[in-house]
Amino acid sequence: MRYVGFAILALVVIVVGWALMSVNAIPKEEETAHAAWAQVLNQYQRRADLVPNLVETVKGAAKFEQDTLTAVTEARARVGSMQLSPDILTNPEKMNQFESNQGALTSALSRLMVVVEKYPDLKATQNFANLQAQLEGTENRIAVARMDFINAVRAYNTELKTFPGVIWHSILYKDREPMQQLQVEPAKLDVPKVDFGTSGN
Amino acid sequence: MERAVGTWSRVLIAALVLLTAGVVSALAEPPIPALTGRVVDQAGILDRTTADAITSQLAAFESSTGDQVVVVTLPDLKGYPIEDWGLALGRGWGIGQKGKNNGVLLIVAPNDRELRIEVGYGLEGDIPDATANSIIQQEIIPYFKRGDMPGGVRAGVNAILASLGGTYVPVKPLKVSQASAGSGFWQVVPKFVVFALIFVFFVLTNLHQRYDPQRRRNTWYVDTSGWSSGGGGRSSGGGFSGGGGSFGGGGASGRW
Repeated sequence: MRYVGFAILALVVIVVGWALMSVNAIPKEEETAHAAWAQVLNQYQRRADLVPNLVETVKGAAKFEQDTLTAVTEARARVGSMQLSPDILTNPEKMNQFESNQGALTSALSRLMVVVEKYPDLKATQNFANLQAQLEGTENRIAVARMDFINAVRAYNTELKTFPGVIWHSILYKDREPMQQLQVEPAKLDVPKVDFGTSGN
Repeated sequence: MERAVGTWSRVLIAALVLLTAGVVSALAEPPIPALTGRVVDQAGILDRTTADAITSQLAAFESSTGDQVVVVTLPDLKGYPIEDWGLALGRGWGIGQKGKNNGVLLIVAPNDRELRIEVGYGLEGDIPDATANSIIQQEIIPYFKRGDMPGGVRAGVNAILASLGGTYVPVKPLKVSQASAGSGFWQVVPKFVVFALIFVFFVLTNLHQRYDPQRRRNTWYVDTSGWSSGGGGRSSGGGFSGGGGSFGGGGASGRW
C-alpha cells in the first residue's frame, strides 16, 4: 500500500515539476513562431525582388504576351505596396489579405512560366535559365518557410491550449492570442515546375 | 482503501494521458534511410571503386573546410517530390555543422530520372540556385543521358566541391551564418526530469524514514547501479554522422 502512495506522490511531483519548468514555454514558442514568420516574409521578399528582372528578360523575347506580363507586374505591385501591420499574426482578415496577394503573384508567375514554353529561344538563354532556377529555388524556399511557420504556430497554439501551458496562459500571459494558421500551401500546389511539356494552357 | 486506490489509479491514468498528449504526431515525410556513410547508394548505381573514391574525396574535403557533402541515391521517390526528399534527408541526417549549416546533398533517383542538389542554409551563398542548376544541367545530366551514372555523380561531386572552394564560380559571396541554439545536454535531458528526480529522491527517503523507523539505517542507501552516463554520443559505428546542420530549401532540381 505504501508503495502505491509513493508512486502517486512521485507522479504528482513529476507533473508539478514539469508544469513549473514550462513557465517559459509560451514566450519561447511565440518567439520561434515570430522567427519562422520573418523567414516566410524574407523568402517572399526574395521572390518579389526577382520579379522585375524576370519580367524584363521575358519582355524582349515574348512580345506577344503583354497580358501575362502585365498580370505579373500588377500582382508584384500589390505585394510590394502591402502594409504589414504588427497584429497580422493574430488578425485573420489581414492574414487572408496577405495570403491572397501572395497567392495572386504565385499564380501569375506560374502562368508566365507556362507561356514562356512557347519561346524556345528565350529558354535557351543563360540569363533566363538562371532566373528560372532562382525562381524555382525561391518557390521551394517559400514552401519550406511556410511549413516551418505552420509547425511553429501549431506548437505555440497547442502550448496555449494544453496543460500546463493553459495554466500559465491564464495567469501570466493573458494577452497572448492564438496565431492564425496558414491555409494549405498554395506555393506548393501550383509551383512552376521544370517540365511544362505535357501541361496544356 | 481499495476504493481510494481505484480512484487514484484513475487519476494516475489521466495524468499519464495528459503527459503523452503533449507529443505531437509527426507530419507525413519521406522515410529516410540510414546514414551509412558519405555515399549512401540505395539505388546501387555506383561501383565499389567509385563509391570509395568519392567517400575519401569528401572526407578529405570535410577535414580541410568543414563542409559536409553527402551523395545519396534512391531507388524510388515513393511519390514525394524530390524537393521533399532533399529537405527530409538534409534535416533528418543533420548534414553540416550545427550553427554553420554547411551541408550539401547530391540526390539521384535513377528510376524516376530526377536529381537534386540540396544546399544547406550556410552554403546558399557558395552554391546559389543558378550555380546548382548549371552543375546539374551542364556537368551531370550529359553523363546521365549516356547512361554513365558513376561518371555523372563523380562530375557532380567535383563541381560541387569546386563551387564550395570558389573555383567553379569565380566570385566567393558572403556566407550567411545562423545563430546556434543552446548547449546539447539540456536539450537531450529536459530540465524537469532532473528536477523531479532529485525532488522525488529527497521526498522518498524522508518518507521512508518516517514510515519505517526500524530500517532507518538502510533508508539512505541509494542503488546507483541502474544509472548510466547520459553522454551525447551520436556516432553510430560508421565513423560518419551529420553534425546537426539545417536546410531551408535552397538548391536546384533537374530531370533527364
